[in-house]
Amino acid sequence: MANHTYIISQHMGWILLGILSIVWIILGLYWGRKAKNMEGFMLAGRNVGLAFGAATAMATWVTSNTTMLAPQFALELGIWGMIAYSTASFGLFLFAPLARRIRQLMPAGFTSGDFIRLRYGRLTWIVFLLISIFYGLTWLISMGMAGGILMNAIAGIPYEIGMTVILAVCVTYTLFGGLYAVIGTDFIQSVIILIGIVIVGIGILSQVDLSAIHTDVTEASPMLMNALMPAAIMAIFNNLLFGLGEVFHSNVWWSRAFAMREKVGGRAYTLAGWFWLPVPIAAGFIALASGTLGINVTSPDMVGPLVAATVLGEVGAIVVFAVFFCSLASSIDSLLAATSDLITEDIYRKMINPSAGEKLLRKVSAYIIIGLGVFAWAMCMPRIGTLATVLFFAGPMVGSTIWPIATGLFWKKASANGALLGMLLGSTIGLISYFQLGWYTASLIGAAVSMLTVVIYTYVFPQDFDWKALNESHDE
Amino acid sequence: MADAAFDSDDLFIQSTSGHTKLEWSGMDGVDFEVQIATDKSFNSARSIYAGPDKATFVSGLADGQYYFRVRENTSPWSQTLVLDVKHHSLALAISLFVVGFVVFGLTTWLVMDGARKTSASLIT
Repeated sequence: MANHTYIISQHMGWILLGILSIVWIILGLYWGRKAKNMEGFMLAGRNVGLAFGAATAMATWVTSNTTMLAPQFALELGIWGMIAYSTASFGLFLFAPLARRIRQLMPAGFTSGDFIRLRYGRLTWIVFLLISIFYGLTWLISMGMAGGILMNAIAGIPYEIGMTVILAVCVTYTLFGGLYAVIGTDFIQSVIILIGIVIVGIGILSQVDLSAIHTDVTEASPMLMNALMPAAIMAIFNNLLFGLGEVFHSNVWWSRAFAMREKVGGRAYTLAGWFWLPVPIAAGFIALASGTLGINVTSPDMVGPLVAATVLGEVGAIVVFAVFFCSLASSIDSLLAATSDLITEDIYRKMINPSAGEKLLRKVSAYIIIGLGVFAWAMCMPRIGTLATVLFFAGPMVGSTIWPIATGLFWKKASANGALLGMLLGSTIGLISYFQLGWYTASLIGAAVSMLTVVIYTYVFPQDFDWKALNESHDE
Repeated sequence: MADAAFDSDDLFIQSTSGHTKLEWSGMDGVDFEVQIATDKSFNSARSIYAGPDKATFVSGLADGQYYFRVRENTSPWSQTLVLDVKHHSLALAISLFVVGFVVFGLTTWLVMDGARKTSASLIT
């Protein structure tokens, strides 16, 4: 083991883990009682208001990647790295108009896959599902890994046990409560995350000297303060476009757009973006303080929790533990629910068994949630690389979906072949740049190639799409 | 014979982003010291870690060659690990920055223009 210094005792770690696990399972089951039919289970009855809508979007976007990867960005890429991570808020800002449009065009829609199938046809739909499910799984795995890393870093709880517990807790309450449980728990989790981050921020600012941090970083790691650090410059728009691709295509965000009341989605996503924006900047800043505070970083994705917990002592460590647990749970539950919806609705109901009744679908959905949890657990067991390595591998693929999704919602002339080729070329060339240049270029190149392909196809081979074809409620 | 040794099979590492994770093996429960230098003979050596952990992360290094060594307490130093940092060219970075800016700008225009045009009527 690389790190022998833990912030709180293992005994305290077990107590915290036990309390948080029981609280989330009870709350999830409580909210989940409302999920009486499939629409309730998958989309919380399409009746989510502004407060719960904004809270669930914000809490879901505050993931382990915000609280653990943003500090890693700052530690590896310096000031630009911090800013680069915060640009992911544009994903929420720009999804706000999309959420309004989605609700208008597809009042009876269930998944992002429904949109691609109806808008672009079967072949594009299959490619999209492959990308989306692959992305969902990498996100889920990176989150499970983060759970194990966090509990090990703070309390010395073995990686395998911490990771297993957090996955098991989220699977349990998502299984019984569906999106009702996810959104309900997200609301409480978002409050805990915001309060915790304010406490950590004030605590750290009161204990560190900004000029000392500047001097130490400039001496020990000069490139972190260099505005012309090449990798950092490349990472800015790469991260922005990765965030945009994640939100634009993922069923995590589409399911919330379907679940929110009409006219709520736009405002909820904008509010969530504003609440989220300062979080990675605060998280990134504390990483730069690690050297000044004499904290040894054994793994860059652990720097955030280590610094916060070390500076704030045992009480602070408890706050940090709770914040990280909430940020992980609020994302893992959303991913389990949204990915299970995508597989149940798009693969099982649309491809395998179109006549399946509600009872059977609910059963299938439950098996898929359990299956996703078990799969993520198996993939998390061997700890592969850093969080960035795992997640950014999906970057070029999600980057390549931005233009097919956005033009598909707003341009009648956007064509199926353009969308298909945009995703295939963007993903392929983006993956080449991932290996040739580095992860910090892959989403950017994937998005750029896809954009060019979609635009050229739209002008050379325009389609005349009838928007009414997206509204499946007319068919029933 | 040195008691602590870097885990890396290859004692020559290259980086295009100026960071790397150093890991070493040694006895549990003892303190280690890691030094960095910009010359082979460690005349400019600076201690970057002292304590019981068996890894440390260095980042923000400018172009150049860096030499690392580790030891257990006051035991002899390990073999030297060399990190060669050569950042990507600034021209490539700025080109990609411009490409990213254009893609983001056009995406924002697409979404805002689409939202404006479609807000007047329900389905256009």
